[in-house]
Amino acid sequence: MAAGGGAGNKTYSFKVVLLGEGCVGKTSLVLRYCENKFNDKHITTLQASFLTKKLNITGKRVNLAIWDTAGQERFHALGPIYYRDSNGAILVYDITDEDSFQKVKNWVKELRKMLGNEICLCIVGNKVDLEKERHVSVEEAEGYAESVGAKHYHTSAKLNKGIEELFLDLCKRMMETAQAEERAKGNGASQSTASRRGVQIVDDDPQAATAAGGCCSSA
Amino acid sequence: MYSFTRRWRQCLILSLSLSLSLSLSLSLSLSLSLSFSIRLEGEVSGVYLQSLTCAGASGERDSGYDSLRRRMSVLDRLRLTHPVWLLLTLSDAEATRILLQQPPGVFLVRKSSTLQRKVLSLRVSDDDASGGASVCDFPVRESQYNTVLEKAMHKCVLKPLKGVVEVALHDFQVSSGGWQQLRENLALAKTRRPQDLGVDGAVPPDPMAIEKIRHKFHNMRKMYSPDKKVSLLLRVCKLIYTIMQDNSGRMYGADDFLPMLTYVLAQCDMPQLDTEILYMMELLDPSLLHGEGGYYLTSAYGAMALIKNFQEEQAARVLSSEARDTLHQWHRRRTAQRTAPSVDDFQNYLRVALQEANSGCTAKTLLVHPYSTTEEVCSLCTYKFKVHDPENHALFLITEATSQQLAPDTHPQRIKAEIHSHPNSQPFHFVYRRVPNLNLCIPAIPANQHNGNCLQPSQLDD
Repeated sequence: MAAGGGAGNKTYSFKVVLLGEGCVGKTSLVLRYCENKFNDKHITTLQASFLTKKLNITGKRVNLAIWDTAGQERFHALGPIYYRDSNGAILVYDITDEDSFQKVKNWVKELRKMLGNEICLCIVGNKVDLEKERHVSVEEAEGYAESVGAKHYHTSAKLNKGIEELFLDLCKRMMETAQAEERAKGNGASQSTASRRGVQIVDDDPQAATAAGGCCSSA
Repeated sequence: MYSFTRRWRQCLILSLSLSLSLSLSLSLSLSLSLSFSIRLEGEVSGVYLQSLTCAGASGERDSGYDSLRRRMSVLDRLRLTHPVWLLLTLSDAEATRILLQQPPGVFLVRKSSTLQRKVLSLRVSDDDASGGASVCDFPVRESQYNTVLEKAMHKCVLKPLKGVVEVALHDFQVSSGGWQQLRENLALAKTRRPQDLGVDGAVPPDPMAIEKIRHKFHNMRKMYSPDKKVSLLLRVCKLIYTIMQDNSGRMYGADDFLPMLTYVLAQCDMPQLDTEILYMMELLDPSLLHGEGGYYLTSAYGAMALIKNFQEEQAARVLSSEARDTLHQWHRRRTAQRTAPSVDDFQNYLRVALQEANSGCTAKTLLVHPYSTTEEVCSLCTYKFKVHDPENHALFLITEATSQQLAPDTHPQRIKAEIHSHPNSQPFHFVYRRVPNLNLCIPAIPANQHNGNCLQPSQLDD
């Protein structure tokens, strides 16, 4: 959902949802990413369920809102209320835990079914610091990601590895998607994307304005 | 004559409610939207409207212009004078030509074709003129969301209606049976330990903290502004986090927070919170739904949904299809470009058409509860449509390509909910009509016609 002001001065606002089994390190990942930039405007600052980050990518301002989800099976059904309207999803698994990779596959299926191809998917193998205990092979994971139109990343929240790249790359992809969407819509009509509700105050038709020189003829 | 002085420091929001022509279209959801506010980007810090004291032979005229300033507010002056300075159609060249003939400080607002947005063009004094330009343009930022105006609208519209809305929401819950179910499940959930609700490790609030949270929720119920309610909800969340953190020192994500919130809501045992959450979800400005408030509101909704379906959760652990349907409708209402919701969107109504062999279709909206069976709906149709041979009629679900007779023990509302909860659901209609000749199994009928299957809700799952 890209929102913005005038041409050339656009600010993108993206919603990114974090999905993955409990204990795969979703929270540490996003904490790592945002740790230096806590937004003290937020009442719940210093918590990791909802985080924001501001970026500047090739001169364009990007506001990220990162929505964490509860990974335990009992909360699975609540997924849709969190991932609705997301521009991107980060699907995290633990490279030492094959089950968690299976969960990622389930999420991919669900997201594609519910949201189609508009959402940018990132599949993230976390805990690469535990390479020795790897149970999900690199080829399998990368092959799978490619087959479903997702990008694959290797990260370690512990060593702060691969995280910056992951988010930067995701932002660029979301910007591309948003730009493609704008082009498809045709420029100029950008204002109409926001939903207008109920009571509206409408700017008066300017035709009533007095004709030439009217701005200061009274002195 | 109006002029303004410039200050080169911070930028100030100029909530010019330019020429307010109120087009009131109060929709059912009582939502509010404000079309725009104006923010000057750059370095203008204040706009002062005043009669020009330097107007040549000042004092010669006692026209009352000077006292005008004292009698009227800035907003009134702006409102009453906008035809003079709001000249959106002026071109760059015309604006410059007009302004150059005026003393410094005179401005007008126009639409710039180069910047593709409104600009405030200001005649600056020749001393101030940077780079020789005697007319400066300041882009105007228009935003969808204006706190001041939104607040004012809440006060004007929502405040008087709050009581009515609450009673209506509550009555609706009571009559649908949802209230009773929620109370029972809340009572049950309250007896459970934190671990039973998924809390793993983090220390839950003690009874004193729960009492404090209940108190905050009570205060929340008194408020009419959805924004203020949300900020109280955020404070509750903050308190929960603080307790979790104090006891461990670590930071928590949703894995730990959501179960804890569910536990806290269960302990609070306030079924009224359900309507509170609905109220906020319906009335909070959509632009805020993606932010922190939206996130924690979503979490509260989720926690409440888990509690509401507590008993079913044990077995199925799925959101009931009705909840999904409600959410689907909510989402459509709040985020899609929408027209007014059709009556059909409301949960307890079902639009059924009577199809007659020679007179086409007549449709009626019937009151059908989620647990009403097709058999009950059929007898309601018989009565409403004054059908004389009900034994030859049945209820069908018709989509573009298919037509299926519904079995007597199926639940039309549930079927509707199922269809609604799927993405890209095809248009569909419930039609009460004569059952075609009973030789259903003869495949002579074209494929797009009656295939006569009785539809079970579960068949719609794929």
